[in-house]
Amino acid sequence: MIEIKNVHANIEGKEILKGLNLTVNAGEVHAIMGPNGAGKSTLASILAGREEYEVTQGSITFEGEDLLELDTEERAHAGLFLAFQYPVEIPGVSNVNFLRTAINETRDAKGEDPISAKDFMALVREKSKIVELDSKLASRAVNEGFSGGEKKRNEIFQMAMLNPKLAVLDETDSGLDIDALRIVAKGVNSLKSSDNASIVITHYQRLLDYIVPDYVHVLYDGKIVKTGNKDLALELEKKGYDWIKEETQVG
Amino acid sequence: MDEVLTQNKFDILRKRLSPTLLPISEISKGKAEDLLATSDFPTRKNEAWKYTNVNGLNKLLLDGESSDLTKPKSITKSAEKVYIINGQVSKDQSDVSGIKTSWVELPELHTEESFDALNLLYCTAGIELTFEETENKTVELVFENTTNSAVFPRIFIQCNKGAKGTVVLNFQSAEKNASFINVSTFVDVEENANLSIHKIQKNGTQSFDLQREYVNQAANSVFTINTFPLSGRMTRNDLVINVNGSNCETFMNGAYTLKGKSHCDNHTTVDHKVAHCYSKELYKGVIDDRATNVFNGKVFVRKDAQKINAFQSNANILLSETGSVNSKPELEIYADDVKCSHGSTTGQLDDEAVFYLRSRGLSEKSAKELLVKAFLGEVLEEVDNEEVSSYVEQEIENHFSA
Repeated sequence: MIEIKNVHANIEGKEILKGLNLTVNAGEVHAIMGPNGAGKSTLASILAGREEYEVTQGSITFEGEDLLELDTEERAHAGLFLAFQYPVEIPGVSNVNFLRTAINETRDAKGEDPISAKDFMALVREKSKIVELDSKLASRAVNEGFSGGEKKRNEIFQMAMLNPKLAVLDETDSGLDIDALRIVAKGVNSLKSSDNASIVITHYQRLLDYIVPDYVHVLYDGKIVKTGNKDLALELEKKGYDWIKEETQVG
Repeated sequence: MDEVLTQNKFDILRKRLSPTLLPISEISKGKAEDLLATSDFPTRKNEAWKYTNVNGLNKLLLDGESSDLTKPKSITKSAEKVYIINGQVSKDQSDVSGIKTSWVELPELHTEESFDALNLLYCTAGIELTFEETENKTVELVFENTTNSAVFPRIFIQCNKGAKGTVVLNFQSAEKNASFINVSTFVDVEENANLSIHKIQKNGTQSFDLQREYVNQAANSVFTINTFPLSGRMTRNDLVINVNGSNCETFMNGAYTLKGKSHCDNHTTVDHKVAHCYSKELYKGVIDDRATNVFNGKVFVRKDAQKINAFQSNANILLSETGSVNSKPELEIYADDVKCSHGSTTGQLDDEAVFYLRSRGLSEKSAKELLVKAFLGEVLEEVDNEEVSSYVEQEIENHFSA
């Protein structure tokens, strides 16, 4: 699905990613863990196409296409979705209206007809249930006045509406209480299929109690330094990141 | 001496205008002539015109060349309508019951504004609307410009005690139109009356549109004016509202969409002369390309005008690096028990919001359009006339697709 090869990336001249490699296949859930400053959010940002980040080396192939050649919206059309760590509040723009535009522009890019109002509303009803998002919230201005938990549920609601091939969840667990975490995780799990994949970026292990990853990668100093299964996450939780740092420095 | 006189820009302009055929008193005429004889086009030195240069008026051809206006022009369905085509009232197209369009004599000049004097001397249409106590009706004045003309209407709106009236002033020109539109509007809102004016200025890209509204509000009245400068080479609105009676409410809203080389200047003055009144002003606009915008909002609260609540806000979004905004809110308060606020912001669209929307699949253009519509939507929410707000909303959409 996605193949990230030897990616180096800068922001404002500072190198953050220093040769990152990662391959994700359909049907897989990958967790990326790592201490603050390791480059987790940079990874999410370059995948979504944030212009402040510059990829200086390496390649990213998504569904056979050169991802780095695509504009942000073209990446979305190709099936990439980023759940934001800090979802933006957009006063005056209705959540469902903008989603309808998003869906229709994606369909248009694929040469498909726009979704009918009826089908769209049915989709809203169906998908808002997945994250237990009140349909009133779904039709309010994007994230305006939403609580932290509601914002994250809204991210997963949008993900459900857009049905991406690859979802990148950037610290979706940050700022969530346990109930919200469970709802968000349930949403992500229910969207899982053999055709799609997700990259779950997180600082803490607790999200991985609910979204069980096939692989856990440790990102440190701009590279993936260790890969394992879900047990690695538990080990990190117990021992912290220091032993990884030591191991890396020794290596 | 002669040479100096011919330099006067009003003189140059007047040579190309036809004196009004409407009756005006010798006194009015004399006053207007005197005023023009002693004035010239305003320059940067004139504080009220610091950022607005009207010299281009003398480059307007006013040659009568026609340019087709194809779209349907009236906005309202059920309103009584008066059509003013290229400055002239079109009697056969208008439904003029209760609307006076011919005059024994135009009311006397009572301002010191040179463009008002010019409007009087070259008036092409005089229109008086009266709303009676038992009435609640809407009148639309449709100004269509299909040729490059001088369009000088003089409008009198009288909203009698207890009456409720809505007036749509709808200026429509063909896209390439190069007219000189110069409008003076005088409004009296009597006790317990409620008047709303919706003004659409969709002028040709070469047109100059200079308008003045002088409003007097008596006690317990409500006055609302919504102004929508949508296109035109130059748009200047001078709105002066005297709140003469207590317990009045005054609402001023504006939304503007500027692009190309257009220039728009909204000068507003609310003069709270007496106590216990409320005024609220909200002007918002987007400025693209090399367009320039000026906002100057004055609020006076006179010495004995206690318990005044006056709020004013102007917000601008620059969509280009080359557009510019000069915004100046002014509060002058001489009373001590009042609640007043003003604010002015000029910025760009929120990049993070644009990125968020794009990450969901919206093109950059749709994302920006959506954000601009949301930004101006706050003004449209204040418009209680569905036909007007949906028209303006559509025009904002067209502005982006053009």
